[in-house]
Amino acid sequence: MIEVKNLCVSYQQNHYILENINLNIKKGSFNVFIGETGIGKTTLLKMISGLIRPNKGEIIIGDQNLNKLSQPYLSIFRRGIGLILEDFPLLEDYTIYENLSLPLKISNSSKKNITQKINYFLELFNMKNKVHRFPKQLSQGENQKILIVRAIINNPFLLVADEPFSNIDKEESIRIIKILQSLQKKGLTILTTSHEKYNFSNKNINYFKIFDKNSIKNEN
Amino acid sequence: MKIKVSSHRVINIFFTNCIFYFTLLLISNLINFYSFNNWAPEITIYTNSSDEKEIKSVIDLLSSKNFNDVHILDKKIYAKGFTEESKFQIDNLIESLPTPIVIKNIKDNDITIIKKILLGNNLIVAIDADENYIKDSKFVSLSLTFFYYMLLFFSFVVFCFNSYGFSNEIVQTRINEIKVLSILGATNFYSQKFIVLILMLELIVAFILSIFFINSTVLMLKKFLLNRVEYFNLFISEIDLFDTQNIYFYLSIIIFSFIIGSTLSLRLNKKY
Repeated sequence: MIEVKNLCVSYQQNHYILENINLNIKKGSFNVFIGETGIGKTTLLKMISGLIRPNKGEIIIGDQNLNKLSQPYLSIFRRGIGLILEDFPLLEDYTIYENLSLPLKISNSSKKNITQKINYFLELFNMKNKVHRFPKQLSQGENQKILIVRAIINNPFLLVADEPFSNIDKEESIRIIKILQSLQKKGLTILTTSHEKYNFSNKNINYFKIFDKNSIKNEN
Repeated sequence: MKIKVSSHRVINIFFTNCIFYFTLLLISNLINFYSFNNWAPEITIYTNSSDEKEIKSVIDLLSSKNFNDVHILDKKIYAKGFTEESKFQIDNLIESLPTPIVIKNIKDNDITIIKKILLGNNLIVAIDADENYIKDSKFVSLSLTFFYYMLLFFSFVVFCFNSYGFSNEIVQTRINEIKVLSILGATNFYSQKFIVLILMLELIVAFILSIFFINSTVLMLKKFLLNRVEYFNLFISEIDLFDTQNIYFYLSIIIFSFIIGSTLSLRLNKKY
C-alpha cells in the first residue's frame, strides 16, 4: 500500500538526513520505526504524510504518487491521513470539542455527525467530561490522548504518529493500542516511531530499525 | 472552511489591556490631584478683624500685587464630621478666632513680598508659614509631580506595547490556526478578511484607550503651556471630542494603529 523508493532528503545542500531509503508497507499493518534521537524517524513520517517533499525518490500511497500531487491536491489527500506530530499541537484557544471538530468540518461533516463522533471517541478514551475544557486545563497525558482522537476521528486510511505514547502510562497505552488494533482490522495502516520496542504490547507489530541515514531493516 | 478569531482570547487581551492602562491612569491622576491640591504651597493670613470692608481691603491689596488666588476661608468647613453638640462648640470657638485669608499657589519669594506688603498693617495678626515651609512643600509637590509624569509616560509606553502585543497575539493565534488547519487539509483561509478584521480591531481598541488617555494628555499639555492651572476644574471638565487638539491626537493614534496593523498584516502575508 505504501511504497517508498530511493528516498533522499536533506535540509542542507549535499548533507542527507535520509538517503536511498526503500520501504514497502502493507495495508492494515501496524508499523513502528525505532532508532536513536535525530536519526530521521520524524522526517520519514513527515515525508510519508506529504508535509516535506523529498529531494529525490518517490512515495506512492495506494495509487497516488505524492511527488506528482500539487499543493492543493496534497492538502485534500492529507484529509485521509491521521497525524500526531510534535509540531502539530492542539489549538490552545479552542475547546476540546472545537479541536476535535476541525478535521470533520474540513471534510464537510454535518453538525450532528460531528457531535456523535466526538461523543463516541471521547467516551472510548474515558474523556467525555473534558469536552468543554481547553487544552491548557488538561494534563500532558490527556492532551496526548486528545491528539490521538483528533488523528483517528475522521476514519483515516493511514495513521502517522510520532511517539504517540509519550506522556501516557503503560496501562492506558495498552488500552489505546487495543483501540488502534481494532481500527487496524477495519483497514487502518499505522506508522509510528519510538526509541525502542514497546515493552507492553508487541502482538502483530512490525518494527523497522533505522541504523543510519541509508539503512532501515525490518526487525521481525 | 471559515476560521474564527478566538473571541474569548481577544476579549481577555482587550480587557486586560484596558484595565491595566486605566488603573495606571487612575493612580497617576490621583497622585496628580493629591499633589496639586494638598501639597501645593499655600499660606493663611490671620486678621484680627471681622469687618468685611477691612478684610476686603487686604484682599484688594494682595490682588493688586498679582496674588489672584486669594480666598476668605469658610469657617463652617471646620465643623464638618462632628456631632451637633461639637459643631455648636466649635462654631463658637471659630467665631472668636480672627478671619483667615488663604493664598494658594505660593511661589518662592511670595512670603517675603507678602510680609513687605502687609508690614505695619494693623489688621494682620499672623502668617502661618515661612520661607522654609514653601521650600519643603514645593519639594514634596515637585516629587509627586515628577512621579505623576513618570507614571503617565509609563502608561503611554504600556499602551503602545500592549496595542502592539494585542495585535501580535491575534496574528500569532491566526498563524497557529493556519498551520494546524493546513496540516489537517484545509485549503481556503479567507486571509484578506482577517487582515481587515485585525485593522478594525486595532483601531477600535486604540480609539477607546485614547479616550482614557486624552484627559491626562490635555492636562499635561496645558500644564506646559500655562503656568497656573485650576487642576481640579480641568480634571472634571468634559472632554470635547471635536476640539482641534484632540482631533490631532486621535489622528496620530489612528495613524499609529494603522502602521502597527499594516506591519503585522505584512508579516502574516509573508508567512502564508
